[in-house]
Amino acid sequence: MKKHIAIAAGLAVLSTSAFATKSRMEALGQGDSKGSYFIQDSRNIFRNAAAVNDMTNYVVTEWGSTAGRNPEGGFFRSAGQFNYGVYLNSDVSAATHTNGTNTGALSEDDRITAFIGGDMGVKWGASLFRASSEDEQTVAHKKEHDSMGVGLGVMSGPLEGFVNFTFKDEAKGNTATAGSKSDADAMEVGLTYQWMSYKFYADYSKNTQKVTNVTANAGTAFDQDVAVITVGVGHTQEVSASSRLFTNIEYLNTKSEEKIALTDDKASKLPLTVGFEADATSWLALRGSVSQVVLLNTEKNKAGKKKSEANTTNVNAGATLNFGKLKVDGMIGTGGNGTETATNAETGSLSLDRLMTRVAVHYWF
Amino acid sequence: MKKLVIAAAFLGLSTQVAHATKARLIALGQDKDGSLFLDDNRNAFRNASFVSNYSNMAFFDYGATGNAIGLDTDTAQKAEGGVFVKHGALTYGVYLGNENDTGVLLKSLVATTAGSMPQSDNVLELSVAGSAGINWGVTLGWAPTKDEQGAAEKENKSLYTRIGVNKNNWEAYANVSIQGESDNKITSEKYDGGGAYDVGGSYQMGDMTAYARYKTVEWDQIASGVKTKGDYKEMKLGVGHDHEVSATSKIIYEVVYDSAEANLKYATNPTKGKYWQIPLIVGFESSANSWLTLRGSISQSLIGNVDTKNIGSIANATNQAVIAARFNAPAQNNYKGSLKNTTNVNAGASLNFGNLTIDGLIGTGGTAGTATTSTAEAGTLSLDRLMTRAAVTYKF
Repeated sequence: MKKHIAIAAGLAVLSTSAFATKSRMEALGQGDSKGSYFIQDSRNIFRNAAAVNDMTNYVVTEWGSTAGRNPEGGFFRSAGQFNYGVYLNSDVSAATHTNGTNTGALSEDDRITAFIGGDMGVKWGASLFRASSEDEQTVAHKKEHDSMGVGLGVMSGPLEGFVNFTFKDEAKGNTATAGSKSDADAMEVGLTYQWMSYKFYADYSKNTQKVTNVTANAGTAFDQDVAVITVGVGHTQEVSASSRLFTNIEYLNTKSEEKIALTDDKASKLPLTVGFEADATSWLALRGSVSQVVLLNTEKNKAGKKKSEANTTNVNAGATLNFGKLKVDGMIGTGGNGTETATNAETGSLSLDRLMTRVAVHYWF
Repeated sequence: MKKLVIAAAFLGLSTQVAHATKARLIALGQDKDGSLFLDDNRNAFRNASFVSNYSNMAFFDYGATGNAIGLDTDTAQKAEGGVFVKHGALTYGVYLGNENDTGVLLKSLVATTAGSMPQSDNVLELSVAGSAGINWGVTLGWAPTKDEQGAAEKENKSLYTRIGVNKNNWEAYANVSIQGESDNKITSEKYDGGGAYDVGGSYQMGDMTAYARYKTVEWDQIASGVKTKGDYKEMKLGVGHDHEVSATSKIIYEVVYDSAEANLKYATNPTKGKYWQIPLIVGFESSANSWLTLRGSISQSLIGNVDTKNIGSIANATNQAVIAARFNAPAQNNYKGSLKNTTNVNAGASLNFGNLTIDGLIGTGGTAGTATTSTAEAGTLSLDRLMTRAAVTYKF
């Protein structure tokens, strides 16, 4: 199959050390938001700001639109002993302000995140994000949204630590009334420890949200606390200079309490992920993973009734097209049958009319 | 089983070092859970001793949750994958998502509405294999699921083991279902099928391999308050010929006596499905160039017979159609006659990138991008749906 490939033989050999996209992380079964606890990727800066020192001098763009997948991107540079970067429109840990029938409340928009880090024997990093928007035109009253947060991280030898706070994520006003308010915050703290080719990690995160007065003087409509404990270990086996095998297993404990609908859900799960990444040719890298919850798979509601999460087996695949310093990443096999909906997106088909989804382009200089 | 631990098996076809996918087997007219005479690491899902023959491999089949009742089909493949790793003298395997179609089919016989019976889900298989004069292997599979929260309280318990041996030119295996229960407490539907067996073996003489396989399941089911006994049997006796035409090409021939029978002993209008046939399968596999391997097969029954009775006694229309199709019969209450439309041509391709191979079926893209069962094989090579049953194998 050469239809999609017309690359001259003189391309530079792939550097498998330059990776920076959501699609890579998702293809390796790591989730597309904050990178991986144990696989090196620049997405890790959204979990540990000190990772800004590990990869620098690049620009990344994640394709999307305001109606579909979130468009975002940024640049990162080194300047002497410091490394810095600016990232636009990240939606990491952004709250959904329409919870609690808060119809028409503004969501976070146009976030800007600044990163700075340095290496003085100990790598350190800090990030600060801010987003602000308002709308006085759609309805008679004003709607507005503000958010702000900070991330701090350190890396010293085999040990890494990080903490991230969203101390303000607030939406005021909705379609019905100017008096509605959705107030959310988030906190995450974690540690990792590298031992040989294994990386152990532990993470605690808590998200809270309270929505009041979705109509005038309506009181509290939504009041939720979600706490997640993640403890796991990941293993990277470098099969060769250009290929590797990843394995990780983690214990995931989730507690979600909503005080208005009076739900109190707990979950304990043990997801196992096996993935690989390899240079197929000088211009093409392929990756894939299978993940599934194994052995422990319990969700319990307030009534004490248990349930297993169904259909947790998930196979993802991705590819990188390499053009020297320019790389195009994407997920493959998610094209469905031409109309990508949740039910048919993954049908085991390789479609050339929808060769890649979650496309991102990054350029390393 | 031929070419057991022979390195030449990996070199015999150009750059093909890793055969491990359903797509390859289906393209060659074989059962997707392994061939009884061709080398393929899918054979490890039939005979656990082959886990050590195919060590240091990761393989993933792309897909989701299967078709409407949970079967794995060419146009709705289920996601599954795993890795076999050699460590010291033993090979260890972890495999996720291998949901057995026979179990899905039999449990659906109980369901009064499509999908009301819980199926095996989130299957975990752990394997260990080694060689101590004889190649041996053991696999343990487990798939517990529970739902006390939904409108119907459901539970499924599955526990099974595969034990196999192979040496030189023969192999033998026995796969046993230790526990197979499925329960919908709200509708009072229940399936209890523990004690299912799948045994078989093969013997190679030169390029020819003779094989035998026998599978049987007996179960008790409760539906609409009525308890019914059921049984299912499947048998294959055949001979396959794997002929290497050149270092990069092979031709295969296979003749097999294939029969299956199912009985549901309802007090009124018991259901029976039965067929036997002798299909001839001819296939080829060839390296078109260094990065592409193509394969294909044609199969057709030379002689056969189908006999179905009281298919309408099965609880719902969707399941009736699925069961009728399993026995190569039209979807009607009674049928007796020859098998219809048994001519089947499959094609597949492998894209080879050294130790990494992408396999798939080709020509199953249908006519309009929406590959339903009826349009999937339309004689069309569609680039907008180049491969179905896409899968990746990585040898490390």
